[in-house]
Amino acid sequence: MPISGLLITLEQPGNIREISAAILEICDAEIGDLEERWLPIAVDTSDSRTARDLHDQLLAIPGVGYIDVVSVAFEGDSPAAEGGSPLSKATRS
Amino acid sequence: MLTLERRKFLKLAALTAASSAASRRAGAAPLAANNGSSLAGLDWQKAPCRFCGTGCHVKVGIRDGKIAAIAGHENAEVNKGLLCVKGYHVGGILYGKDRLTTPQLRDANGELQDITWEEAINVIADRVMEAPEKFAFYGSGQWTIPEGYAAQTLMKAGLSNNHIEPNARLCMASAVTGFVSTYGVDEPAGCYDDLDHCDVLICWGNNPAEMHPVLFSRVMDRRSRGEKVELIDIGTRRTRTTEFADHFMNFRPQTDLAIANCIARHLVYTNTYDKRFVEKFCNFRADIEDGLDLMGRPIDFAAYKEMLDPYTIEYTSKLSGLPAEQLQHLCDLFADPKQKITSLWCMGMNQHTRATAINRLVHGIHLLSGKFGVPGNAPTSLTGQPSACGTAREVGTLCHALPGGLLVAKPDHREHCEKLWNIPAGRINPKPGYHTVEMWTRFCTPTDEGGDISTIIVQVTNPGQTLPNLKKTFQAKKNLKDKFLIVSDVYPTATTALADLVLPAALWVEKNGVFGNSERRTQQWFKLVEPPGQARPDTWMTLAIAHRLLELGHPGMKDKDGNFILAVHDEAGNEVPVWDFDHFYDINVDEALFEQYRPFTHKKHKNVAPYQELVKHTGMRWPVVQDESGEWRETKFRFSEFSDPFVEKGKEIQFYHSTTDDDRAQIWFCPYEPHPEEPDDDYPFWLCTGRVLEHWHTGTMTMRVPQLANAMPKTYCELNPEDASELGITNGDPIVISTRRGDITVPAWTNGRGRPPRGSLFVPFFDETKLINELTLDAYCPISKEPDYKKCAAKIRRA
Amino acid sequence: MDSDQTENHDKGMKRLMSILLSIAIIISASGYFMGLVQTKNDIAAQKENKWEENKAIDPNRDSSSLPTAPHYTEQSDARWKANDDWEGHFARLHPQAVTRDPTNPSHPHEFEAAIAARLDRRAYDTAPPVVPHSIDEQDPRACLTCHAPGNARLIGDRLTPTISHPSFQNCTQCHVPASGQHELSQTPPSTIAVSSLENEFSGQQPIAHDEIAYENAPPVLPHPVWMRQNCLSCHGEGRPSAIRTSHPQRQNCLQCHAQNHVLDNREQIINQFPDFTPIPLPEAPESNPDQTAGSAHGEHE
Repeated sequence: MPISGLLITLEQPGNIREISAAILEICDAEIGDLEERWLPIAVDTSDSRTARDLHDQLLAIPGVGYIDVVSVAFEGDSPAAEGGSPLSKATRS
Repeated sequence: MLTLERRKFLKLAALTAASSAASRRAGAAPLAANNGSSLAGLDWQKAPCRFCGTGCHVKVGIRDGKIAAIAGHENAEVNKGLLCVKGYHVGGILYGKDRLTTPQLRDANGELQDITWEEAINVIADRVMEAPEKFAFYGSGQWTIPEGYAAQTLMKAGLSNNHIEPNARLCMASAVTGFVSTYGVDEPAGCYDDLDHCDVLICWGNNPAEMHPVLFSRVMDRRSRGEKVELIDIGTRRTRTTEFADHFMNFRPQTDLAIANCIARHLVYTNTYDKRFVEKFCNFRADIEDGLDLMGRPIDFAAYKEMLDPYTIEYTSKLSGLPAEQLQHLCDLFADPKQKITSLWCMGMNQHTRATAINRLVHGIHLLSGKFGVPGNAPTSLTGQPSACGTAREVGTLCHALPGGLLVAKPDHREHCEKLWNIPAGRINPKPGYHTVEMWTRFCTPTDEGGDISTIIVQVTNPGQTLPNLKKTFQAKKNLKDKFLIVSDVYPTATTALADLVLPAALWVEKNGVFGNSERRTQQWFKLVEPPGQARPDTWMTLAIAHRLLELGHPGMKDKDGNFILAVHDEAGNEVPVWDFDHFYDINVDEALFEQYRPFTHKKHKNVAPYQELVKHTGMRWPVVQDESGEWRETKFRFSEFSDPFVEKGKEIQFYHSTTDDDRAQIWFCPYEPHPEEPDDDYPFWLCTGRVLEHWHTGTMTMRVPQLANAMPKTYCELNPEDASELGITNGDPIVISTRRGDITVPAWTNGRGRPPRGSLFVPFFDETKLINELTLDAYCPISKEPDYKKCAAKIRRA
Repeated sequence: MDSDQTENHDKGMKRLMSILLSIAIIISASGYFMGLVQTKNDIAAQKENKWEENKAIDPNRDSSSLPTAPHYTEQSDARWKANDDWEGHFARLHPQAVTRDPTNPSHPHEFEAAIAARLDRRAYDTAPPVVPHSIDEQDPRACLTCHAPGNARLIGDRLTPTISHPSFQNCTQCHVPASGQHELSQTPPSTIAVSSLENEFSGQQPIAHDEIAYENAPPVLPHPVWMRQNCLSCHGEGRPSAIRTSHPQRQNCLQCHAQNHVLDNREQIINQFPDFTPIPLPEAPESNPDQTAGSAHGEHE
C-alpha cells in the first residue's frame, strides 16, 4: 500500500486552482503549499501499479511539467503483518 | 493492521518531505538566475570542528551573518581537506529552532520563567556565597581553554574549592593515569604523523571508522595509494573498522589485560624484547602489595618476568577466547624489529574498571618492544571531545589537578600556581575535591545524609544523559528541594529538564575559542556569527559570577594586591570591565586569558604557543618553543631527541618527567582481574554502550541537524542473530533490556551496523528519549575514577 | 528426519560427496577458463538479453539444500538466520554502455531540474550528498560494487554514478542514507536530504550559470573541483542530459574549462581579526566619540 510524496513542477506558477481541482478529481491527495512553481502532494494508492497509473494521470493534467517522486512508504497491511508469524516456520529447519 | 492514524501519519510525513523539496527548489530558483559573483558574498573563515577530539580544521562559509557552507580546510595537517559527515554538517548545529535564548529560573510551580542576565548572575552568586564549600563546577572537554581557565581560576584560586570536574572524567581520566604512571607526565608522545608511517595499526577496543573517521581514512587511504598497512582490530564486536581489518581478534570483555600481558610475556621469555631500549630507557613497576595506587612500587626485571609467567599463549587463549594463532601473530609482530606499530585506543580501554592497568600495559608492550619514539611506532590514545586534552587535561579542570599538569596535592605545585595567580600562599586547597561520580552522588544525596554538595553549575555538557546509573547519580535530584542545579547550554537537554536555572550559551563560532586535540595541537578561532537572542559565551558567565562575588565581598576574588583575580587588561595596562557584557568584546578576552594561562604550561614542558602564533596556523603541537631565529617551532614527537627541544643532546630518548627521576619510563605489570559484574544466569548478556558515526555524544547538536538525524533517527540494540533467533526476536522488534539498575525498551537490530558475538549487546547512547545510562554500572577504575560504560550484565526479552 | 539409518549411510554419503565435489571442481575450473574465452567473444557479440547470465547462478548447487525462500508477504516476519549467507548480485549485473546522443543545448527547464535535483541531496552546495537508497550498514566498501570506476550498473533505467574521488573509499564517512535504519524506520524512506522545519540552517545554493568569456567560449567551472577528480562522474554517460558533456571523446576537461577562482575552494584563508573596537568606557573620556562603533558586538535583544 504505497503512500507517496510527490513534487509536481508546474509549467507556469499561475494556474494552481485548476490544477489542484484536477488532482483532487483523480485521487484523494493531500496537497501542500505551492512554492513558486513547485507543488508538493501526498497520495495513497492501493498498490504500486495503481501508483504508476496515477503518476501518469497526474502527468497528463495540463500545466503539469514534471513529477518527482520524493518518498514512498511501502509499509502495508498485508495479512502477514497483522500479527504472529504464521509462515516463518517455513524457514526453520 | 495499518490503522487510520498511522496512514495519516505516513501521508503527512510524505507531504512534509515533498514540501521540503518544493521549498528547496523554490529557494534555488532565484539563484539560478544569479551570476557567479554571488558566491563572492560567501566569506570563508577557519575554525576547528566543534565535535570530536580529532581536531579537523573546517572552513566556515558565511553569508549575511549566517553559516551557509562548510568545507574541509585543505591546508590543515590533521584532515588535509577531508571531513566526516558530522563535520560537513556542523553549520546546522547553530540553527535548531529550539535554541535557548533567555535565562530562565524555575518558579515555585516548577515552571521556567524568563529572567534577566543580571538576575541570573545574582542568583548564582548568592547561592555560592551561602555555602562556597558546597558549590561545585561541572564542565567538559568541550570547554574552550579560556572557558576552562576562567572556571579553574574561580574555583581553585578564588573559592579555594577543588570541586571542579569536567565530563572528561568519564572518558579520558584513565588515559591520564596511564600516561602519568608510565611517563610521569600526561598526553601522547606521538602524533597523527604516526598514522602515515606505521606498518601495522592496532585498534584496541576502538572503532575509528565511525568515531574518528578522518584519522581512519588517513591510514586506510594509504592502501588505495598502493601502500601496505596491516590493520588489527582487537575488539568485542564487529564494527565498520572490522570490515577493513586484516585480523579481527574477538576477545572476551575484560581479557584485554591478559592479551597485553601475553605479548609482554612472549617478548621477555623468547628474549625478543628490545634489550637496548629497555636497559637504557625503562624501569619496571607493579601495583603496591595491598591495593592500587597511581605510582605503585618498583620491581626488578626478574620479578617482572616472574609475574608475567602465567600469561602463556595457551592460558590467555583460554581466558580471552582468541585462537592461539592470533595471539601468536600479535606476539610475532611486536617481536619483529622491522614492523612499525601504532596502537590506537579510546573509550574501550578508558571506560574500564581496570582502565589504568590496561593503559599501562599497552604503553608497556610498546616500550618493551622498543616500538616508541620513531615515526610510526607509538601508543596513542584518542580523545572523544574537541578539547579533552586542551582544557580538561592541560588546564587541569579536574578535582585533583592544577593548570599545566600540576597537582593540588603537591605543595611545590600549589606554591608555583599561587605565584602565577598572584594569590596569597595557602589559598589553594591541598585536598582534592570530589571526582565526577562522587560529586553527583553527593549532590543527589539529601544534605542531612552526607550530601554536602548543594549547588552545581554545569557548562557545555549534558550529565543528565551521560552519567552512569542515572537514577542514582542525577535523577534523584528531583526530590531534593534544597539542591540547586544551574545549567548553561544551547538547547533543552536531559540536564536542563531538572535545572533550577537555565543559561543560554553561545555555541562554537558564536564566540572566540581555543581547543586542544588528541595530538597536543592547540587551535584557535574567532567569533564569526552572532549568537541568537541573549545567548552569551560561558567565559563571560564565569567572569560575571566571579565579579559579582567580588562585589558581595568574597575575599577569594582578590589577589595578593587586592585586584580582581580574573582581571583583564588592555595594552595600556588599564583594567577592562569585561564582566559587564557591554564591554566583553572591547578586548579579546580569549587572548588575555590564554596569555595568563600560558606560563602555567612551562613547568611540565607543555609550552603552548602564544595566541598570536595560533592565529596564523591551523593549530600547533606543543611544546612550541622559539628557535634561534625567533621562529616558533612545534614538536611532533615528544621525548625524542630529533624532535623534542627539551631532550638533552645525545640522549636519544629522554623521559624528562620520569616518576623515578632518572629519565626513564615505567614498564608496568598489572594482572588480569575479572570484571565486577560479569554475566551470570540471571543477567546472561554483556551490555556495551557507545557512539555512532552520525551523532556526537548525547546528540544535543547532531540530532538537530536533519541530515544526521534522518540517517540515524533513534537508538537500537544490536544483538547477535542467533541470540535473537533463540529468543524469538526479529529486526525492529521492541525488546526490553534489563540490568540490576533499570530497564529500557528499544528496537532490536540484527545484522545492522555492528555485529556483536553471541551473548553480547550494544546500545548507542545518543538518544535522549532512551537513556541507556539508566542501566549502566557506576563501578569505576579505582585509580582514574572513570566508570565502565562498556561492560555490565544484562538480560533481554521481547517486549 | 529419521536418525536411525546412520553411520554407514553417512560414510557412503561422504565418499560420494567428495567424488561429486571433485567432479564439480574440475567442471567449474574448466568452465571458468572456457568462460573467460567465451565472455570475451560474448562481449564482442553484445548479447541481446542482458539478464540471461543471471538466470542460473550456480548450476552445481544442490537446490534441495537451500532454505525455502519466504513469500513476499512473510518477509517482515522471516527469520534472518536463514539468510545469513545472503549475497547481493548487483555485481553480476553488466554495466550497459549507453551511448546517447549528446543533447546540445538542453532546455533551460531540464537544466534547472538537474541543478535542483542535485541540491535536493545536499544540505548546501558542495556538501557531500546523502545516499538516496538504503545501504550496507556494515561494510562501506559495498558501495564500490556499483559506484567504483568501471562498475557502473544499470538498475531499472538508472545508471549508478561513479565515485568522483576514487582514492577515498570509506564512503559512509561522509555519505549517509537520506533516511537510515530502514529496517527499523517509522518514517517513509526518502531519496532526498529532507530538511526539517526544526532547523533554520539555510545552505549555500549552487550557481547554475557559468561564466563565459565570450559566446561559444568554454565555460568556467561553476563549482569547486576539490574532491571532484573525475568530471565524468556527473557529466559523463548516463547523467542527466542537461549537464552531460556533449563531447565525451575529449577527456582532459581542465584543458579548456578553467577553475573558478572563487569556487575552486583553494583560496588561502587569511585569518582576520574581528573588529574589537572598544565601546567607550564612561571613565575614559579621550576615547572615540562615535557611539555606534563596535555595536555589532554588543547585546542583541
